[in-house]
Amino acid sequence: MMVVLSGQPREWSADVVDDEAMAITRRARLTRVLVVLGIVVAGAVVAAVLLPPAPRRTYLIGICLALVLCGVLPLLASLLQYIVVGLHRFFIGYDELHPYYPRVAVVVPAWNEAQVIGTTIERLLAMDYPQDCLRVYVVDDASTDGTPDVVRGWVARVPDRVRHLRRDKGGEGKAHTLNHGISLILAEPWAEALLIIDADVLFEDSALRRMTRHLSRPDVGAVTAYIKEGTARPNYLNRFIGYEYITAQAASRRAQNVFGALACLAGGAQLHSRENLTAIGGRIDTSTLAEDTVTTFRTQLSGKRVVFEANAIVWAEEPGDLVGLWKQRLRWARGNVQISLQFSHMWFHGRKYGALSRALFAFIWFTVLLMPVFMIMVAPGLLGLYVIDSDQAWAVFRSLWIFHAVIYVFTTAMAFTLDPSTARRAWLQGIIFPGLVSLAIIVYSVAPGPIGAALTHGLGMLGIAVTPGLVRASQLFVYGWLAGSMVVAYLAKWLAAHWRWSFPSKVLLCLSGYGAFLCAVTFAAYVREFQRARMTWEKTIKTGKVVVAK
Amino acid sequence: MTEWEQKFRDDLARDMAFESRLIVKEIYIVAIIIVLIVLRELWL
Repeated sequence: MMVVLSGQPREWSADVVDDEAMAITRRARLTRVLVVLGIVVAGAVVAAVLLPPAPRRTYLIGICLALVLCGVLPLLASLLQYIVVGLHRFFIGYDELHPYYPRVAVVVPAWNEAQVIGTTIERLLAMDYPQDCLRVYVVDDASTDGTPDVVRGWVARVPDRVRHLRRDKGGEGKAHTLNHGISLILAEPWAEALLIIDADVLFEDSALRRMTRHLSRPDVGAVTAYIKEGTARPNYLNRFIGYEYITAQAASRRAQNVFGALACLAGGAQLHSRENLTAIGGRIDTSTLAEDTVTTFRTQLSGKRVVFEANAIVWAEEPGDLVGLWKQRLRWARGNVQISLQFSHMWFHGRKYGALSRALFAFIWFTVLLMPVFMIMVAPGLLGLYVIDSDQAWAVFRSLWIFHAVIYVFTTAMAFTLDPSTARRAWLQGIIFPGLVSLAIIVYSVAPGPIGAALTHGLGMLGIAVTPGLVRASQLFVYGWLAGSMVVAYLAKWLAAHWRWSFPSKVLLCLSGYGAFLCAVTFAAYVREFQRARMTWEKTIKTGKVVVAK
Repeated sequence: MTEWEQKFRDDLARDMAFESRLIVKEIYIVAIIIVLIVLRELWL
């Protein structure tokens, strides 16, 4: 069956007006936040100037310690999330589930996806799910490649199970494309649930039925799956992403199940009950770059639970180069900044808006969003302490990094436990995830005596004497490293964009750490939002390199 | 019991077993880290 939609739908012009109004509101809120921050900083500086010398010293030490403590917040958030993973069994609600196989309409937005769409449809139809309860709706966003031909081929083979929804004009982004498909599906009574996916994701045989079982609970509105990086011949970056997804999904989203609020339904695998999608307006938000997070928030604000099902596995192709990864993550990070401002009425409001407005969820959300700020704050904190009292600076620095070491060992071991198959594939990237420089600092902080003696001996063999000047320079370097690592990560991306030889950027990324790269992206997102940059939806190129691992 | 009910039960049994093992593994990992910290304090 083929449905041709001619021209733009009537509601699109209304969308643009609403989106523009929301953008203006966000700008006003961002200005307010910046003004308040400016007043706080100015107040702190004025107080330092006006105080007499003796209390001023104590005051400045306090300020510096507070800045360094900000660097502990992301570590605490990480520890908190990993530590509750073991309790997930008691919060996932498995005991309350019943067999449930609703009629599922799979919505596949496709814009020039000829290389991947055929395999995706094939995998969807091959899933171990009642055949008469599954239909695939490909929403073809005016593709100009072979996508329509591939989809028409499938429609001809299985007309009852695959449908082709073609738009005449496209390129407005995923949310607009999805809304075309959703409005047509909801106009018919057939679908009891809608599965929204990306055109490149491959579902494991049991993934859908592992998701639908949660909809047997009346309080659950939506379910998401564990999306894994599935490139058949992964490069170093694919492996980093694979390991990152253990932390960002397998661990973090399990923890969010425990806390009772989910930050994001994965855009590539989100299952909604028909009732839920209708309750949140029957459409996907178009006012931000993170439409999946808005859907997640609205579902929970309407009183329904959102569940992450870690055992429903979906494989996706992720960028294999730093420039592609930067573009993808910049879109995600800008979306998160926009959402933080758009939902500003909700944060830290106890249980007024359910678990989403509790301080615990806000703590997790903002430690991720503000991680670059916290990393930058550590540097002036330690350097300020160094100027005031260098011994105290060294003691604080070592305490920070010893804590870092404990968290690193715990989270890495837990990550390997949570997803052993990805751990086998990306064990090296898991170990060097914080970056080689940070790893060296961790090792030195844990055992400064033996490591210091070995370093002195090694440098001596190279003819380099360990002078007080060298020691001071090394101290200043490591004090500033958390902030500096983001600059190195940005340099890695810059080299990748401007130099064909990829080796230097790879080395820089390994030195700075993958986390520093993500922080650099988030910092760039602040800047883009501050500059009021246009919201462009840049498609991540997919080439069909994904396989479903056995 | 239908084929689909059986599949539901099999999936659930596997997933519950995996999730239940996580807390045991977590306890092992925490114990090992504590031992490492104690050894470091004793030796350094």
